[in-house]
Amino acid sequence: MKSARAAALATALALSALTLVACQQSAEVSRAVGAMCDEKAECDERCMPPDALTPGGFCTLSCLNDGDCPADTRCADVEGGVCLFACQHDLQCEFLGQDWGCSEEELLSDDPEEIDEVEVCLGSPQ
Amino acid sequence: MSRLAAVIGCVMAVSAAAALADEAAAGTPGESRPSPAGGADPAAGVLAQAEPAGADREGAAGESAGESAEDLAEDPASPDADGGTEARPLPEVPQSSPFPDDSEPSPEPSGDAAADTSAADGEGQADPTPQDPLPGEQELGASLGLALGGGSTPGGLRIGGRYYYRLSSRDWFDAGVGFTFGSSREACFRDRRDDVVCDHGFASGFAAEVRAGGIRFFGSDDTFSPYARLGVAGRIIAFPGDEVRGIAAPAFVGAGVRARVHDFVAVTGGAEFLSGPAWMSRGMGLEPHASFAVSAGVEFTVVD
Repeated sequence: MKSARAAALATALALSALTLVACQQSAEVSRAVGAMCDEKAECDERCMPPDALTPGGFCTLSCLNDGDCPADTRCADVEGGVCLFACQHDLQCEFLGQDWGCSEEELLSDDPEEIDEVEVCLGSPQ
Repeated sequence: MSRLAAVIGCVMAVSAAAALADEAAAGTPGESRPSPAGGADPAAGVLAQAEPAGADREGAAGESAGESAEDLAEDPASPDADGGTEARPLPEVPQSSPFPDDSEPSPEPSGDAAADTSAADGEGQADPTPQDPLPGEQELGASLGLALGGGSTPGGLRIGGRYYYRLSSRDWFDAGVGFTFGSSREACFRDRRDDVVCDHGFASGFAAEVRAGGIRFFGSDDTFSPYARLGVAGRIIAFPGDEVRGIAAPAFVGAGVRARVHDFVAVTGGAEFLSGPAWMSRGMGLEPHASFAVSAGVEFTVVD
């Protein structure tokens, strides 16, 4: 009967392992910000189609300030205000693709007199 | 939360598997364990003969088994005659049994035990009695519950239908169909490697399934019967909002309690964990499939 118990435990462990694998999902990008896209239907709100600024396309959210953006993203004054991943150097943008880099853009905020710069991930000029 | 559900499911799976292993180990003659009320498990029948009258064999075969035990206790060859607790194999005495596998020919009984048993049981066959906790050979049931999905696994409202066919006093063949209804919210996207990833919530998508397996009741009286089940299922999966479809072939384990509310009606409540591979469309390919569900239901004995 030890073999029966061992078989039962092995089955349970296998099921547990499958479950852990099932829980592993990409946490870096989402339909809200970061997913590749060609059209709006692929995103929660807005798609910046593939071009030099957003290679591969980029799902994002419109924003007026940082409060409108998810964690790790900033509200940059690009195309009227969109959420982009914050960065400090190019390596931090590699997860978006090889054509992406860290660029300095104007930060969008509620205070029109406050002019600040922010570094965000965007397509690198070729 | 998804991980919490998975962990709860895994704990339940381990517990159910261990319980099944324990029961399998305890099913060998010579180990003293209570037998199901009114049950007629062959191994339990041998044990019942070695116990004093009034042990938990009172029920379907109560009187005849009790008399046999008394007679055997007077027999020096009986395990209890000298007060010992070691159970040795005894001559098989026919028991009242509604189950085909319990009426198989056994070694020829001898002495008073055989005579008494024959007198009490007639031909050694008897119909199920009202004390039998599971009086029929077949049962039908329906259930309603909630399933937690996530990722590429549908979740939501779950309804099901079941069919049981008795295999032995405690074990039944368990077949059924089930449907899970969740939201159609869009949750798939292309990650930066252009792979489709779905991050559905706990209650999203649709699934239809057929399943087959076994269920064992551990009931020690005729009112409440804990149970454990396991088996395999075939599922059709759909996430309409994302136009994603697929099929899955998971295994499931579950446990719960069943309570009789009428001679032929019982209510159940239980939980179940399901896991296995799924093949999804939109280029997703092979995906893990895991779900935890709780449900309540009602079951009816099919009267022959």
